[in-house]
Amino acid sequence: MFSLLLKDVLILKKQFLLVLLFILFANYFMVFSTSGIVFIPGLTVVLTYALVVQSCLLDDKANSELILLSLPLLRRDIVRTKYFSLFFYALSSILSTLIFQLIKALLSHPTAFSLTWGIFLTSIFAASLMGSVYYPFYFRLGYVKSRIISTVVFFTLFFGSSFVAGLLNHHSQSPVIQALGKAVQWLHDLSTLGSTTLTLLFILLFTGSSYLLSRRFYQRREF
Amino acid sequence: MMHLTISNASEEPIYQQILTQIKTLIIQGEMSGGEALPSIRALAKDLQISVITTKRAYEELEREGFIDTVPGKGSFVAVQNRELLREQRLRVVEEKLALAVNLARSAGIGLSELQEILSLIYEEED
Amino acid sequence: MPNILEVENLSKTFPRFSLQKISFSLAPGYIMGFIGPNGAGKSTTLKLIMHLLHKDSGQIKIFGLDPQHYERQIKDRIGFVYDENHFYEELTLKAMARIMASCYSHWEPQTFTSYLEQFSLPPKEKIKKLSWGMQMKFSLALALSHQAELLILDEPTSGLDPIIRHELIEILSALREDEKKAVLFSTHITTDLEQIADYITFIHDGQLVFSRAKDDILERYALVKGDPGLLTRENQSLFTGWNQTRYGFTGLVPDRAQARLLLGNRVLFEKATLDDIMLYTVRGKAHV
Repeated sequence: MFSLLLKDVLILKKQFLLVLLFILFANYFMVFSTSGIVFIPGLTVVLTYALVVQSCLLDDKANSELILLSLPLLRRDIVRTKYFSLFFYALSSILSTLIFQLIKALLSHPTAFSLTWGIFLTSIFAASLMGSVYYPFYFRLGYVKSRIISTVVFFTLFFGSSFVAGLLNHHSQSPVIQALGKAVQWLHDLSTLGSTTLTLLFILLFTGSSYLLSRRFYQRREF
Repeated sequence: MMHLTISNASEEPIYQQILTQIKTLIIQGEMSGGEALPSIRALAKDLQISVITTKRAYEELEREGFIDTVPGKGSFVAVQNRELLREQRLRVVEEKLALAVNLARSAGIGLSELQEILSLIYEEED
Repeated sequence: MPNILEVENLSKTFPRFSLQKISFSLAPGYIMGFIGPNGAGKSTTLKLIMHLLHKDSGQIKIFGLDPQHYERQIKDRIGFVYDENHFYEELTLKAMARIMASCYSHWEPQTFTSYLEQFSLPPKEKIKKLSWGMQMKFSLALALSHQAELLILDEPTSGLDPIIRHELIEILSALREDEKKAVLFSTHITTDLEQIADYITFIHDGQLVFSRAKDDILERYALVKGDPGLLTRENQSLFTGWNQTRYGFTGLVPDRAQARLLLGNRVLFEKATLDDIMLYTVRGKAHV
């Protein structure tokens, strides 16, 4: 698995540099003081998605599966590494933001923003959710087809969420919405330990089932 | 040193070419008793031919008593075989000559005429 | 010694092509040529062996092991060269080699460096800057640097000049000096194999034509040339295939001795090459 991670890092050298520049840019110009809770997870998801897709694109471009599967690697190693690198990208992205913000704080910049545990968890959660949706398509269909489908899925999620939000507002009196509201309130009232555990559990559940699905798909693929 | 010239264009199978050439080298004394031959695999590598071809040539050479193969050590030109070979050949020559003499007798060809023919053929062949 | 590779009744069906009950085996210390026209199923067979495709039925054993249970251990001992570049073009040779090296348990850096030198490959060059011949050599250097016991080459020589092809042959025959190693070499350019190969496995249209010692094949098969009038109905069964013109015919017989017995001195016998054998087998008697 180390070899494959090394491979991803080596082939994505240029992209990592671009991402770093982008983060620098974003951190310099953006004022996070109130919007950080949305902005940082958003940035993490976008950058992680970009790296994930780039790595899959480069694998596809080189038709490298023939080589990778001829090496002493198992198909499940390849799948596992893709999930592992997802977290790796997300963590690197958050870490870079943290470093830039620390520098800003040290320079007593007025817009310096401190990363909270909650934002960190939300970012990781959002990135893993994105990967858990994307990878099964990728491992089932290959890069080209999965790209189309994942685009459709993400747009649906994006516009769908605002649609759902509008729907919720409209029917705020219905018992289902009431119950949902209570659930949200309950989550909000949880202690840090409680919400951390819950988030990690969700991450584990999503990525775990997504991984199992991807593995099954990839096992059946032919090259 | 063993020099072999292999032709791919020849109708003669390659193992046969190797066989004939090594035999000639041994009979003419260019390879002496006890001398090591290259291994089957080294020879195949140098001539860039099949291992099966060199193996077959060596097996044939061994069967005819030209070489000895010691497992794990390699193949060597058999000692004493030059004399043995000469004797074998001499026996064949005697047989054929006897046949020729018989034919000559039945045709009424005399000894002196026969000797004349023999020396004529011998010199011609040389 | 047990076989390095055993393929038994291997079958795989695609919508437009099927590989049917292919069987052959390869012992250590030998080079096997895997021949057949384009589309005969050579790549499919090799991909099934490498488990890039899933077989429908049949058996594959590599180093005596079942690849379904010992995939990693088996691939650790296989070196491969494919007919196209499948490397990351943007990487340098060195970086690509580093990735691959970290996968093998017996990687030998010195061996690899010496092959790079021997092939005049620049380690700091990007892969996309290499010609196809250089890429093949790079592939070969990787395949030879981890003590692989089985070398699988899929059309490595197509599109290469005779000089590089000859170099490859030299390397393979040097490799064969080690009697523990074996090579499976697929190609449709049979001249590469005419000399060096020990065994030939010939497939056509997804079916096995033969898998035998090359010497045996070349000794039995012959080209026969003669007057078209000699191609009587009884004689026709002697031939695998033939080509007929106004002036005469050339045909391939799988049994030289039998043909000589029946046709005798009325025809001319010539040595058949692997190319002849492939050509007449594929063409058959269709165009008479």
